[in-house]
Amino acid sequence: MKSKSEPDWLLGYRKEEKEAADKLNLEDRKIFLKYLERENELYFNELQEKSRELDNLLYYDKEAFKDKLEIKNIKDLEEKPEQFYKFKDKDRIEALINSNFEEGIIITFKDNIDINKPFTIKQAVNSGRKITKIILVIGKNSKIYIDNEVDSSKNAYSGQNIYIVLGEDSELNFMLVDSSKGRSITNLNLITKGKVNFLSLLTNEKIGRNRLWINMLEHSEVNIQQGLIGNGESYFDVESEIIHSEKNTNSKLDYKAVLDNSSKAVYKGIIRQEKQATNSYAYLSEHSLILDKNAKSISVPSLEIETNELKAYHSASSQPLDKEVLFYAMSRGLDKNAAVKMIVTGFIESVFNKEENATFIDALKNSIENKMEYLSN
Amino acid sequence: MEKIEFDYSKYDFKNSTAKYKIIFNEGLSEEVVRDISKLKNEPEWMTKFRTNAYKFFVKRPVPEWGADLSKINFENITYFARATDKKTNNWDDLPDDIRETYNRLGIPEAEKKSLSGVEVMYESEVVYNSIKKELEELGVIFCDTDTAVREHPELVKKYFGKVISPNDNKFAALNSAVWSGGSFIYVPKGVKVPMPLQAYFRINAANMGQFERTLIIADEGADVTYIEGCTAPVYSKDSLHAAVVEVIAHKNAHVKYITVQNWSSDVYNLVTKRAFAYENAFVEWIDANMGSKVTEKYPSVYLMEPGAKSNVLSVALANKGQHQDTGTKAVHLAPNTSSVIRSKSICLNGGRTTYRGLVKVKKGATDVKSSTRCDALIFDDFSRTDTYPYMEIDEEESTISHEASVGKIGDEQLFYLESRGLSELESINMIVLGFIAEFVDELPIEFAVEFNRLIKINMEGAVG
Amino acid sequence: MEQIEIKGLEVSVNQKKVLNGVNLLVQRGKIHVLMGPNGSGKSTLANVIMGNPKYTVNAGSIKFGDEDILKLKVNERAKRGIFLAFQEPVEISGVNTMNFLVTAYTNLKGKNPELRKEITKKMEELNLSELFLKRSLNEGFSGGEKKRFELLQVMLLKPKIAILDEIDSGMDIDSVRMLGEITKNLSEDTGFLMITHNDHILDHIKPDIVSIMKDGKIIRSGDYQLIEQIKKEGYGKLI
Repeated sequence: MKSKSEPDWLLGYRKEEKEAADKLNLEDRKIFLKYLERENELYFNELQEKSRELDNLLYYDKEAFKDKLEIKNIKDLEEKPEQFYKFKDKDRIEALINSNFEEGIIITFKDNIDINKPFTIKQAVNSGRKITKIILVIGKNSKIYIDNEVDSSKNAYSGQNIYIVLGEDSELNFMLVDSSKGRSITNLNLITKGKVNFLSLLTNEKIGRNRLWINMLEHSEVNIQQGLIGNGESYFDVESEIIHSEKNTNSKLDYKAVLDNSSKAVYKGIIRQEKQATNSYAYLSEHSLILDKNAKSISVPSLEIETNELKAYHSASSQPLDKEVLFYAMSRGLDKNAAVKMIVTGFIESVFNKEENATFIDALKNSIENKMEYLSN
Repeated sequence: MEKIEFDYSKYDFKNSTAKYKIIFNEGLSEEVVRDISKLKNEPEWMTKFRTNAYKFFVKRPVPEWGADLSKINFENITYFARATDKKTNNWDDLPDDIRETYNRLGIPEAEKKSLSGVEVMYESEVVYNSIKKELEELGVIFCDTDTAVREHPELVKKYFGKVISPNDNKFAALNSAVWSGGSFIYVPKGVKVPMPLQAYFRINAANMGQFERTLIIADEGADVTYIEGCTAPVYSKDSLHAAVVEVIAHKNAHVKYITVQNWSSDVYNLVTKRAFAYENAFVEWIDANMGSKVTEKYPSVYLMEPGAKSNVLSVALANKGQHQDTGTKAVHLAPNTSSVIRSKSICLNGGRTTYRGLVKVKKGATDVKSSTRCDALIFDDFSRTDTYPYMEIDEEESTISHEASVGKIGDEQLFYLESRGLSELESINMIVLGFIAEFVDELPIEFAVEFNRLIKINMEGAVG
Repeated sequence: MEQIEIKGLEVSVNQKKVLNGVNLLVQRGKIHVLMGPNGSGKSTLANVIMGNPKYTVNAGSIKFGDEDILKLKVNERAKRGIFLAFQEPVEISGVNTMNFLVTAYTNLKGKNPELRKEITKKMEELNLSELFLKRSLNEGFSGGEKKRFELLQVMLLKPKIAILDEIDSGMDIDSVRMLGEITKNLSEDTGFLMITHNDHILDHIKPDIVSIMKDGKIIRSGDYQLIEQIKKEGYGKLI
């Protein structure tokens, strides 16, 4: 229930967002409409609302972050915060989440901070639904680590909109691990003047829709590493859109997916370079490993280029498990499942750069290992 | 291949259009569709095919996923006319840019007049007859599609509309309803046609219909190369060209289809081209899009049976005011099939190129190999290039790869060539011609020379 | 006098100063060797003489005879008879090597019906396979082959002044010997500015002038004796 104490501006905002949702498509680009599936599972209105305390959402070392940040509940604000104006809804689900969020938080990190202990946002839903809107404002010349863990249980629904504004000379290291057993939606929107390292691992079991949208301003740098493991009947709808809006911007995106059983992944990678994005460089690579006859991979590594002062490159591939490699591994005494597990684990792990933060890398490895347990059963 | 006395400009279907002297009023209705069929004295099944297609045309929406087609006014188009009536009667009435391009391509005076429709030039009887005889001896049928409906009804009926159904898309439906002209080719079992067949080179190109329909059947083990289009800009009063091309390559057959499209810059060129490749057959589309205002064309190959192969090589150039939305589809329906796709695009002066392609592997189509390579050159920051390669893989046992790059001409490359005495424009030309060299290598030599000139004319605006 | 005269040349790239007042004279008919440690600005100088737009000339002049060539476009400089053999020749896909040679030659020297014969003959001298002519420009050439191909262009185009930017690096011993002989033969009619790191080439040619560059300046010039000194003592003592 929307509490009675919600300020008028917020009630108005929720209404506007609801109207926006009616007008928007489920995909903001017509070119991807044909891949829209299981639409009904993306909505959450059939589930009861569940309100939760903030404490269940944010975990961080209070000592390390002392005086370094400010956390505000959106419902307590007297006016609509300026960050609301910086982002425009791109699709219907994003607008619905904005209209219906139960928890809304603005976290402002101060300038000139350097904290290597991760700030954790845990979106865990045991039953019902949890709809969250989080705004992160990171100042200038700061370096922080954010760890976003999503886990919804079998019949639950997780929906989160995350908005990030990253200041000049700052570095954001963001890790998203979604190991939901139920339905899960993440819309992550980022405007950056600094450097972003984004690592994500999706191992959803039911349906995962994950949309990453990054708007790069002058001299920014983005490095994205995405891994995906699908088995059973899991379905993934993943979109990563990188917009080079201004000059001297560099982006690199690596995506690797493993699909087993009847799992399916639609991956839409988009690199857009605007007219002003001169002297820019973009690289996008997508590679899928298909383990089962019934698994399905769809990918559209798109480029939209409006300037000549740039270089853009993408590559994509899809292939079965290399039988020679499998044979080699088994000739060393591994049984088939163990061999497959070893090869797949290596394939997915290789998308993540070993130089990244050790806590992150360990967490990712752990999640991969946990996920790959399905082969042992 | 042995060079025979074959001037590409000398092959025409002079019986085909002469009969139709009526121009229909602009606009389209089922009535008009029936009248077209009646005038052509078509059999009942074709009339039905047309009216059926017309219903699909009405129902189907204008596609919105690609280039902007909202400006097409279907009411303002003449759906059927004798081709020559559409041409201007005076050389001087032609737009200046087209006249100038003719001059600079080095097209002979007599042909220029013919291209512009000022004069109708017929092919030399001798050459025409010698080729006709040679083809007849081989059992090859090569005529316009209207003639084929009359003279080879059983063949036409068997294949017509089978590769591209009238309901495939709005423009295929339109073509199916109002088609006229186009080529029909049947190559019997085991026959290898010794020369490229060419229906519309230069002179004939000027007389090409807006809604032509081409059907090529290569029977088992047959081999044929077909060339359509021309380098000279084709001037047309009508602004819509919606062709349908169907190709059937039976077991072990090879079909190579070469197109150079250079419509004048006000034409919407919306063409559906598709081939079925059966067991061990090999189909090649070699396709260049230089002209038109908007082109939407995605030559496709359906690899129907094991061992089928396809090769698609395309070039698109978008200059001021043009949008070339092109690409290809490779649909793997059987095991051990392979496809190679190469696309080169160039945009400048505000032109826009889009690569839109699909590689699809159906479940059960094991051991499929497919590779795609798209390269785009972009000359300035008011041009635009997009790449949308769709990959839909339903089968684990397949190896699919895709690569794409976008960039401008390298400064260091320009500097190297200029340091050898070439001007900036000469250097750009050399690099651009190198960029598309793979394509030009596929063209017959006369064609290649003109094609290179055409590129150079387009590049003139590229030097700041 | 057919010579390149450089005075007070100051150059920057990406706002960074790389040449700080270079003075140098390269004369037709003479061999001028330019040496110096890595990053001293030798390649920059070569590129600026040829007119690489990457570099900005802030001050100074480069004259060829009486003409200020800084105003000239790259291809105009080539037409005056200046040639640069690149340290790293670029690859250009699809541009046929033979076609490139014929175009460049015809452009600078006019039509020559014997050109193709001459090209194959010179390639034989350089131990370059004729197969290269069928390939794309510099594509699939090894490092040494690229350098010999640059040399082939010097032999064909017979420039008045040829700048050889580390042409000997990547060449095997036999090729370096060959380079020495060819340079010697051509030097009657061509002036060479030979940029090198390597002493080997100096066993095969006897330069008329030797200059040493450091930090974007010519710090020493002299005759052959200077090389002997470098061989013995290294750069260290000289700079």
